[in-house]
Amino acid sequence: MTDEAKTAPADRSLEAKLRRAQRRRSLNAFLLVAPLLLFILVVFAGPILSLLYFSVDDPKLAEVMPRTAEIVAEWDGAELPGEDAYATVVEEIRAAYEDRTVAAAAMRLNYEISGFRSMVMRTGRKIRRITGPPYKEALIGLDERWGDIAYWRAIKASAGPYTTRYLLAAVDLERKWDGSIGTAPPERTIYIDYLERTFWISFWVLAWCIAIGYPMAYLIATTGRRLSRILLALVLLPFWTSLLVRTAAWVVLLQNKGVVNDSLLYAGLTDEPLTLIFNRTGVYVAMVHILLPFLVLPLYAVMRNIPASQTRAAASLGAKPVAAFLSVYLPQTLPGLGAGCILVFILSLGFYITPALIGGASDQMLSYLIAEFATRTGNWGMASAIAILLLLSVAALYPVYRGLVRGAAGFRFG
Amino acid sequence: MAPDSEVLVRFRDVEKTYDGRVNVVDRLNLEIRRGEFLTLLGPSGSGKTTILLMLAGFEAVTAGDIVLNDRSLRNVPPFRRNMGIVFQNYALFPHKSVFQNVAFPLVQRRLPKQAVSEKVEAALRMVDLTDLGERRPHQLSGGQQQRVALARALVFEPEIVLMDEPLGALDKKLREQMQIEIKHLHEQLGMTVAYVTHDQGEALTMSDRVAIMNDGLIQQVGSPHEVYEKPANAFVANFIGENNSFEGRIEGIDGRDCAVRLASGDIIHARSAAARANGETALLSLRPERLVIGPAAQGMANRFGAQVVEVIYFGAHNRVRLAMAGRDDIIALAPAGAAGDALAPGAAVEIGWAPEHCRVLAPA
Repeated sequence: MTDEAKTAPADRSLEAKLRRAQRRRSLNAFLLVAPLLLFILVVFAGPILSLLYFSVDDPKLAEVMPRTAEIVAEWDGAELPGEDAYATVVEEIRAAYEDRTVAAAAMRLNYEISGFRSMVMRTGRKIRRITGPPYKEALIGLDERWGDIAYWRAIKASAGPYTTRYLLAAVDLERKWDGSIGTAPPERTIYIDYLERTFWISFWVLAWCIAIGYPMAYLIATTGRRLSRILLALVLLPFWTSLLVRTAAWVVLLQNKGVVNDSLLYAGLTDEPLTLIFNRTGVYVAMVHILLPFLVLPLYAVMRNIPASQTRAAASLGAKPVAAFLSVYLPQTLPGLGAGCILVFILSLGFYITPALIGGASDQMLSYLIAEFATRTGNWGMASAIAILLLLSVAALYPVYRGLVRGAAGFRFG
Repeated sequence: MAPDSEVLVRFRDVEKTYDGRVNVVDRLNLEIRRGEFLTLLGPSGSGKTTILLMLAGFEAVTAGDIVLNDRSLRNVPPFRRNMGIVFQNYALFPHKSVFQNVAFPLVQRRLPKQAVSEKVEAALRMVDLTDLGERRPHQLSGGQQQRVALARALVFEPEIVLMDEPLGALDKKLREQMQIEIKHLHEQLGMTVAYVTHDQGEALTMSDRVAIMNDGLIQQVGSPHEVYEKPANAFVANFIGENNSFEGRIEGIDGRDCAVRLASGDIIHARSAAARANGETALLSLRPERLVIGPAAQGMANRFGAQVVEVIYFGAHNRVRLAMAGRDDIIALAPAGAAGDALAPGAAVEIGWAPEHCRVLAPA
């Protein structure tokens, strides 16, 4: 028997064994990961999906006044609806008023036209007076606004079960009665302003973080070991306290009779206390302080791996310090800088507590609106829509980050 | 001392200390001549790299002065020194292509685009990398990266090229090949090279002159032949090549020839570079390849009976350990062939060497 003949069948069974072993291993691996996968699905994907759902979900009116919703859904909205629509409304408001469910529907209608809520509630209170047809005249008799087609169009817009109104409103748009999309009335076009302000504040926070953080990271990465450890500890120290504590500390420091102002007054640098709190300055100071580590740490990690011989080589080849920095050092730090910038920017887009505690009315960001809608007015649709606006703004930054990192990192370290 | 016109760099009483207590470089007086290949050779921590860093301007001189072309370098920043440096880890710019790396010094000097690309191409041709201009450094092998570093350091025709253990990261074969290539480049281009290494073989192969450093002090400066054949002291003798050393007392002097009596009572005839007196203790140095085994030893002034302790086969030669004069650590290199192959441990042999190959070293 030759050697080949002897080993061939053995080889085949060996292959099969190997395949079995690999299958078993990947199954084991999957089972190990499965709880984590489930956790991620429930904790990350779940909230985002529910966010999406809440932002288009619009069941209120249809729950309370289902037949009215059906009728207005069929109505073309061109002119006042007919007698049957009025009859249905009277009947369903009457029933809902007795069941005490009318308020929910009235609240929903109020999103469309302010004042609609009280109008429905008042109609409900007086609905006993309507005893028989013609309902159209009777209803208009109760409140003449029932004769205004705008209110009927509002009912049509609220008929549900799904709506784009929250998403459109989040970007200062609304759907007109004929289905076209146009700008919302001026009293409701605040969201783009908030978005712009959110980006603007984040931009300046980022700019300050770079201006302070870049030299800081450079110092930590290049100085002697002892000083570098101390500096790194100082950068990390704020992480050991909660965001709220740090923010509150800034309130103490920045107020008119706070440490900063007292020191300035004592040093004679200013005659009267500077307004450092409840304005943009305070927000910048506190946010930069809180976000600085997120810029410094990735930068430091990258800078530590750039050998001193890089700048030395540049100098020996005739590059003046500025040229050596711009053409040799800076490009090699771009991956870290990009990562840090994205972290800082994205985190600051979502800031809520700090502007809320330290900023004034005109320093609030999108998260403030979300909190406002979710906790104060209970308008989950609007809160979700703004949250999605924020989510999309962040997602839009991802390609920027990719471009930045890829552009800079066409090379590997080491 | 060479005439001033031949000297490119002169170190004058240069000292360097980092902690204010110990001098890393002490009383350094050294000149680098125009067009020569000077190697600073020494064990790690001997101060050789520090000398290079001071010359390049990356470390300040604590005392003394470095003069380039009769001009003090004291206040000249590194980017104006016009020295090409090849770093230990090459220090190629990872985010730039090979072409951009080599073009860097020319771009910094604001050469017109046309001239830049001509010079870069010539430099890449010189180091045999013509087709790799568009690659990034990490896509190249160690040897290729080394060539890029070389091209980058040479392309702007610097006054002097400094190399800090440039071949340390390469494997043996490639290292030897690059040694020859760098040597050829030096011969072709005639640039001045200051080369730092701890590899004595490298120093001997490549250099015009070798400066041997230990503990911050220059031990000896001379041609490879000089430092090998005529080591100035025990450190040089032991650091470069293999060395058999004997210690004894001088008992007879005839000009430069000395008779030295060992503790065992044997007398060795040796030659001294410096004047010595009777009765002084003397340290002798004998290179293993100068020690002859067998019949060839007959007729030599130093002739001893010895016993073979160990024979190690090295292919081209055998390394033979011998016992003589009460010791068993005498090393001889016997060429492969009839005589060498016949040696076996335990065999009694006759060994000998000529007095001119056995040096009386200066006292340390």
